[in-house]
Amino acid sequence: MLLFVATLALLVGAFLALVLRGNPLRAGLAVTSQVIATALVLAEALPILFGAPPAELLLHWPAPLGDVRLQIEALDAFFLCFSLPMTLLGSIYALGYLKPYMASKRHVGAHFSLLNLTSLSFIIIYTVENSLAFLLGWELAALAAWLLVIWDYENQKIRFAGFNYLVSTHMSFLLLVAAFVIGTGASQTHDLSMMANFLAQDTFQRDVTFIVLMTSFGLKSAFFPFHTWLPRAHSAAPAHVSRADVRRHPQGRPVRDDQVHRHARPPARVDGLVRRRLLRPLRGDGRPLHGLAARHQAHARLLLHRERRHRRHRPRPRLPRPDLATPLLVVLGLTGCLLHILNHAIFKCLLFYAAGAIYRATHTIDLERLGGLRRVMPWTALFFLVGSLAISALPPFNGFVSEFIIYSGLVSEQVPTALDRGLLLAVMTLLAFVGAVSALAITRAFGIAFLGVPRDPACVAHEEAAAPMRFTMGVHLLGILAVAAVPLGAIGLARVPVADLLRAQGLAAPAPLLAAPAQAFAPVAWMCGGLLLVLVLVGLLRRAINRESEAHVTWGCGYTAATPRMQYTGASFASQFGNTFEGVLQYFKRFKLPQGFFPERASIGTHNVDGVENRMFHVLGTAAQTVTRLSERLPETTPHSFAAGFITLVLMVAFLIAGGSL
Amino acid sequence: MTTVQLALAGAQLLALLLLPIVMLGLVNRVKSIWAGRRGPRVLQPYHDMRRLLRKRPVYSSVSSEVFRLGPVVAVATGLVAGMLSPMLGPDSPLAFAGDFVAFAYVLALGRVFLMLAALDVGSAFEGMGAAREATYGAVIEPALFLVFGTLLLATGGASFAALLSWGDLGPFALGIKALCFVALMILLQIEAARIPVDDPMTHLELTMIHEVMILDHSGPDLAMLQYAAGLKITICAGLLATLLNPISWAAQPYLAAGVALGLTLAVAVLVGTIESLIARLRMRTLPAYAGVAVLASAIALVLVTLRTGGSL
Repeated sequence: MLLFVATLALLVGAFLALVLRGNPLRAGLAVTSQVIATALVLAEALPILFGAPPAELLLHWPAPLGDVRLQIEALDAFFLCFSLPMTLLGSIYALGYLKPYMASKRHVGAHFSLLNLTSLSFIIIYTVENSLAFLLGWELAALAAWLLVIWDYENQKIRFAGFNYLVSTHMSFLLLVAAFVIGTGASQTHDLSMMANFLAQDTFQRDVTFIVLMTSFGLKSAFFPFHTWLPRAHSAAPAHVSRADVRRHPQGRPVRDDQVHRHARPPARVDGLVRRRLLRPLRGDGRPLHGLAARHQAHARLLLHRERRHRRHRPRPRLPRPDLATPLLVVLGLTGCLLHILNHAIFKCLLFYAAGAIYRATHTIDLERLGGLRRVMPWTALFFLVGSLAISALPPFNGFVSEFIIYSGLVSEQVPTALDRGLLLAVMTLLAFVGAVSALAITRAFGIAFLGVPRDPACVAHEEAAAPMRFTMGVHLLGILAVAAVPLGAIGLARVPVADLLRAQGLAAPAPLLAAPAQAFAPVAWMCGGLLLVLVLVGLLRRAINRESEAHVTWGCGYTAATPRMQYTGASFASQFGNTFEGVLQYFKRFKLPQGFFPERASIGTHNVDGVENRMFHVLGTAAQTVTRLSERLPETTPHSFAAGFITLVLMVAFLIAGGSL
Repeated sequence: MTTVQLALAGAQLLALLLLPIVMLGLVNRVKSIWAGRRGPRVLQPYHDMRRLLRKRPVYSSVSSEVFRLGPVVAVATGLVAGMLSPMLGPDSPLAFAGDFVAFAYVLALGRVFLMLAALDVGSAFEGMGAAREATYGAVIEPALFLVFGTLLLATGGASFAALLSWGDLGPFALGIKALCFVALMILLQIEAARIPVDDPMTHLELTMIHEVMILDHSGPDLAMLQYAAGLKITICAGLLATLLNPISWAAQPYLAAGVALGLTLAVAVLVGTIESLIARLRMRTLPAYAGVAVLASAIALVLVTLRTGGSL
């Protein structure tokens, strides 16, 4: 199996990156090994993605692993085909990002070695059928990511962000272990496929397992409201430490490493959570859809609700037949979801890379100190702009393609009941709101960082991102444009995986049904083409009436800005929206008011904190106070304390017995 | 495509190109009449735009290509959104299932570029306008989708054409249409920056929304932005006209198109009347005003859901 050679190549590359001398050699060998591994994985997975039979192999390992079955089906192939190439691109990006360290004494090989292990963890997670081996792969991914996050471990706040992530990821791990323990106990095997019988039964225990799995995946991939580790580990943590940890590199410019994790972020972490062997056997209730993407979850939940209603109540005569409606909705939902995962990986990584390039050029991640970067970094500006438009699902970019297919499912007239249709339309409204907020956020980020003029002379960029960084960002840009230019081809990538999933649920997968997403998007593709055409025509018209222009200072209402700091700020841009939703968003201000007639210093700092995390600790604090108050009410005499303890013990035993009988 | 459909599609394209000027002129004329003045001619915006097209543009020394791209994208997205919306018939030139989603996202693309153009010049004023536009755009977006959702659920369709196929004129349908009308009217006032949300004639930068974003645009660029604003008001008025049109498209397509055109112009008169009789709202109350649109459309969706499900 080619995967074995790929695994071997990654391990050898990781080893050589650790033991050889010279950072460029270490990095070069690690990247070379990733190139080999990626080529081998693509050679194995691509034919399966396009319809070749699944690959399977059985390994006999000693206890406790036992027999480990490896299998690549179409869905595994789908994820393998972009996870490894994108990790490879991340490693190439790292060559540019870590350039200042290449000539230093810092062992950069460890970093590249960890990137190799990240790729390896992807291979394990996507291919093994054994739950213990799966957990090993899961843990390998978690530890590699953690060590990459704390690359700049000398900074206390970076360490805190890293440990925050480590705790969350291991809570996820423990929940996953709990789910596997239940599944293994019921099926008497570690083989994930063999858990099908247990998961196919409509029992309370199965439902609990499902919730545990979803919570575990939510914690790992930071689905709201389990996302609390993410802002700190990916963006908030560096922002908090932007002034604290500044070092000097050989050229005398301040350098900080806390952004390294940006490119080290596994590009498709969420994909690792999709183990349809766990979810697929939940026949007939639409649950295989769960866990694929946050947006799709809502859709799937409603499908599940509808199915349950159908079991309880007969469908009303005027409604379409549910046996026809369900597969169509599943196909639209799954296709949109899979494509959106791919698209998300492309444009999100591009934005992370562009953000890393900004940091590398300006040595700050404080948005309020940036500005005018497009003059020095035109390529990075282009990459960031296209990534921003794509993540906001604006036409004609790739995010719009996948979101439109999801919308097609939401507005489908084949949703059987009026209530479900009403709920789906409400979900559609929510998605539209999310899209509008995304547009607000990206306008703010791009507008403040790249447009206008530099706000802080200490944070002025002097050069464009290094060539390897530009190369990586350019490939991602091409990915966005490729999906936008050939949307029907991109939709076709999900065809075989979706067909597999349908068949696994006992549903037929006829060609017309599988072609539904492409049919739904075909007229939109024409519309996008029309949009481009109109854009070109209006642009040409504008050019035709071009007059000789004149340059002048920006309009200032009679008072031209005295300093660049008088430009509009990111905090001000967000404050109106924040004030409108102040019940949800928590907005903190810190003042240092001017004192005396001739004040020397005054400042104001604003920050939107994570409301979920804040409220979580608030709830914990309130609970602790409540328990303390209750305990204070207990008389301190021995009989009363004994009675309270006894009642608690009885309740605990009752719960245990009740749990055992489930 | 039948001859009738082709003719209506062509008429819609023509209306899209011409109506923006007429709509702006009509609103201004109505406001003048309410103020007891004769006012400018209805085609005065055309003369204004023509004058601007001849002028030499002045660009801020800070601005970049993004600034020049803003007006182009605003006009192009307005035209495409207009061709997606069913102004003069159930089959707009670019009709397809889920076209209203594309309509909203195409408009959003234009809005994003307009905001970026505002931020490009590094002005505090224009950034303020962009922030307001982004906020109110985000707040009003759910209302648009709730209205579409309501009408889709009521008609069982999956496209903009579903707006038209609801020929029910019973009390329940009229009530739902009234709620949708309220939501769409507020949407028009926010999208097209009209009173009581925004005042296109104000001279106070601190109270502007749309106008403050385009302070640095001049000459042909300003003409294009004024045209784009006219496009927005035309499209939104067209949606309202379509919603109110009592004539059956299937039976009398040309009469229905004529009535739709008349109703579109009537909406412009209504906009002018509202602007003459109502003072502008305070800035801090605007989110609540947008909330009225969301609430009205949400009530409509709930009612239609209950009705369709047989509970009402």
